[in-house]
Amino acid sequence: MTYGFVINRILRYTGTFFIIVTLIFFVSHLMPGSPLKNILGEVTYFNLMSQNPEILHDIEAEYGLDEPLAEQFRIYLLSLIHFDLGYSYKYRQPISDLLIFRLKWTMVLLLPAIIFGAIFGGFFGSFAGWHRNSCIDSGLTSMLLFVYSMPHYWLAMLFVLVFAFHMGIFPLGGITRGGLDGLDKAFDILWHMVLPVSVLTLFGAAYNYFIMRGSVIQVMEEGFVLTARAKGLTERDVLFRHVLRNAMLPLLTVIALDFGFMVSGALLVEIVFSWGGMGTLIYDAVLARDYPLLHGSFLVIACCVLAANFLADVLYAAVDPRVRGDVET
Amino acid sequence: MANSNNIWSRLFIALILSFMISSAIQISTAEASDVSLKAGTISSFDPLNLFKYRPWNGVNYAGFTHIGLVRYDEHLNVLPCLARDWKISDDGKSITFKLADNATWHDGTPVTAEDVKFTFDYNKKHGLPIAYLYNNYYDHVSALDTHEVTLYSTEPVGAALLTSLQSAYIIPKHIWEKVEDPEKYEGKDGMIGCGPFVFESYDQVATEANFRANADFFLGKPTIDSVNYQYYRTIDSMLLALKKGDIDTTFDYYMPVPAVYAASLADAKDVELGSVPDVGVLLNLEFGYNQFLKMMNESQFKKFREAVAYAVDYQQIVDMISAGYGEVPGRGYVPPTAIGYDPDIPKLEHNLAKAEGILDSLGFIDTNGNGVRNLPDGSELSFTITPPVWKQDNMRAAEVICSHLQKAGLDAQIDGESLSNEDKCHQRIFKDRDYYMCIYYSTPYSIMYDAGGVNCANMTGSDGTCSDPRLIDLLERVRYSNTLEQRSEAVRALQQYYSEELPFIALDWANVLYPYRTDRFGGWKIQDGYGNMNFDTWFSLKPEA
Repeated sequence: MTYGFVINRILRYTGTFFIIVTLIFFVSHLMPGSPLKNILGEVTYFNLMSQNPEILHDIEAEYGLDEPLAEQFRIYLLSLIHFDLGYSYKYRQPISDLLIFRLKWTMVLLLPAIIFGAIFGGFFGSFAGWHRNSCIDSGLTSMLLFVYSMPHYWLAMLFVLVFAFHMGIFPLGGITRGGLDGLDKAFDILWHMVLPVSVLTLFGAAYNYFIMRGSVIQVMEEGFVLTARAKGLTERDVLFRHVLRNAMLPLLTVIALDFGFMVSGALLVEIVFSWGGMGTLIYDAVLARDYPLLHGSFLVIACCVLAANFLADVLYAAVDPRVRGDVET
Repeated sequence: MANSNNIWSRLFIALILSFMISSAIQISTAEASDVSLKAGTISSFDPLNLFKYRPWNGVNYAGFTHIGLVRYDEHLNVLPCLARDWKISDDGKSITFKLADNATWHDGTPVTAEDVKFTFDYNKKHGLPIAYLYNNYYDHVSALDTHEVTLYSTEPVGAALLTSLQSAYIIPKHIWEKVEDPEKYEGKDGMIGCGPFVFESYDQVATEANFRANADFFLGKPTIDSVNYQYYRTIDSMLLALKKGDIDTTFDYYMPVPAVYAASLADAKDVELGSVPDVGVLLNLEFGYNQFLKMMNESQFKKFREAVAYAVDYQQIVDMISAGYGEVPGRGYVPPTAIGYDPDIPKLEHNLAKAEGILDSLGFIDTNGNGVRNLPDGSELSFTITPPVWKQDNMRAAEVICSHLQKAGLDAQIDGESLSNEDKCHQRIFKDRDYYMCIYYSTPYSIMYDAGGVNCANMTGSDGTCSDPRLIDLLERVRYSNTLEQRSEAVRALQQYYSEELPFIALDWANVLYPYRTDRFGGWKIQDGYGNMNFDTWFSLKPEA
């Protein structure tokens, strides 16, 4: 890996970042509907539209919404340069505060789900691929295909109904009960996390399972595996030293991207479990036409996805000498 | 190695068990020592400042900590609250209130007429939503002495103003006079009021707030010790929590539970479904005079409206939208909960034969046999129906109305242009008013203000299209009533007009549903329209043994 490789990637990602910022800004403003409806409330907004459009225009000016789009974009870029993400119309809070708070809880939910999903998916996928066409392979594949075909929110609702409502083992939703602190609070959060993390882990594991299984099967058909066996290596050595090492590459990419997309939250699961994360924040921002909040949220997602991509590139190059070789030449 | 694994497993299990036992002990101890009402909401909130959420969310929790000059009883009659007495002036342009002598803010400062004056001045200055009816007619407020204050309005709206003041929460001058931007204020004293509960805490992570009963409340201490107010992301999760017993009731200001949930709630153990008449009109059909008067003359249009009124199957709409919790509306439009409601005005009637008879008599006959009636000039009687696209119930009702009208030979179609563009829909209904028919609704505010005239008349302060001088005169009489008796009389006359002319039609006089549990508390008071979380409930709730 050379400096050239890193600089090449940084330049590429900077260009991509600028394109994303531009797209986020203009696409969000193309949505029909006005943020003033949410800011003022439906009754007041329609009343003003009907009776006092000039007052409505004044309020638009107050929020800078009467400026031409290009001018609004220029102001937005200037504020970005000063690391000022603005103020949310809906929540009436600085966007950076909102994002930090929500990101924290999204990560609490998604980080373990991604890690467990990767571990379980990777492990069972390798196992099934290595024992292709065995009973275990067929059983695991059928079961995880069934899980993967189900909508996230449906499984989440099922978990809530069975484990929280009927059995009463876990809470119906939320991040924690109020009035707790210290270790009690930490345990309570863990208790609230069990169901949403389980749902997300199941889906992550199912997805990763198929990638890993397919990858192992593909690698096993390569000539170097035959050579390794012909050399007299044990099956364990063939699996761990040759097959898994090569089969890990697609899974690594997926996991890296999962970490990138993690900041966008898991909207439907967050909704079902009343988990105040990034997914619901973005959803609320879209409904309220809260442009500053939308821009801020998408910006964070874009940064994280680009960073994760960059990380995947670097990891790829570190793990696979062929990729490294391509870059260096 | 095996032994060490065993030890770790045992330790882990012991840890989990001790955690679960200690949690259970905590919960039972808390429940035993505090009579706390638990309420759920689906409106996100941050109760550090009652102005933070501008439209209505603030009203939810502000009703715990703050009070207005007057309040409503179960049937929305106006009763004294912070004001112990009042008098509307003869010209209807002012109301003088005598305040309770012993009211104090939660920080111990006495409530004075200066606070009342400050509240209305501050609301006007910052364009805040509380007391918004008064904002429209604000002239000035005078504090006559420590406990006497007069509100002056630009028009003689005394009676309407008085009834709207129950949600005009009075705020402490000594706190807010220092605040320049009320919606961004983060001070800890932002929730100090003089109401029956004192704001205690808000947990941003748990999204719940606690309010403690105000032992010094000048009208007495509430019968419960505290209110725990919990946010749920969806109505489904909130209702599951209610059925499970995690909360005692739901509470969102004027946001009843949709009727589609009625069946599952009715079957739930220990859950009662409070059903009371609505104070607004859930669905209406507004005629677009501007468009129809291009197709036919005024006399034809009047008969056409009558035919449309007969063509609509009201019971089907009540069953479909309100799950049967409602009634077929009257021709007089205003619901039975309104001041001046006239029970003698007949109900609307679904009679397709009568509708067809009227259309035939107008000469609107299907001349080419394609199932659509033709106007005398040969063109087809085709028009669109515009629902507000952001209202699901209105969209569904619009589709059903189209089918009703099609049975009478009218080619009614959903307004596709508005359907695909919310901005266009706003513009059509509120700006250009170029719709043929609009399936809209009347808020409690529009019934309280001018008995729904806001939705049908083309005059200042209204969004409608009917410019009939008789209607406008009647509406002015309602709006500018000096006393509640005068207003009652004016509303009766207006209902008579509505019944004869049908400038719009109520489609559903719905009952609103507010569920609550009966295993922990009894003595709930259900207020018309607004449900079980109201001022009377704070003093009538009794913990069940």
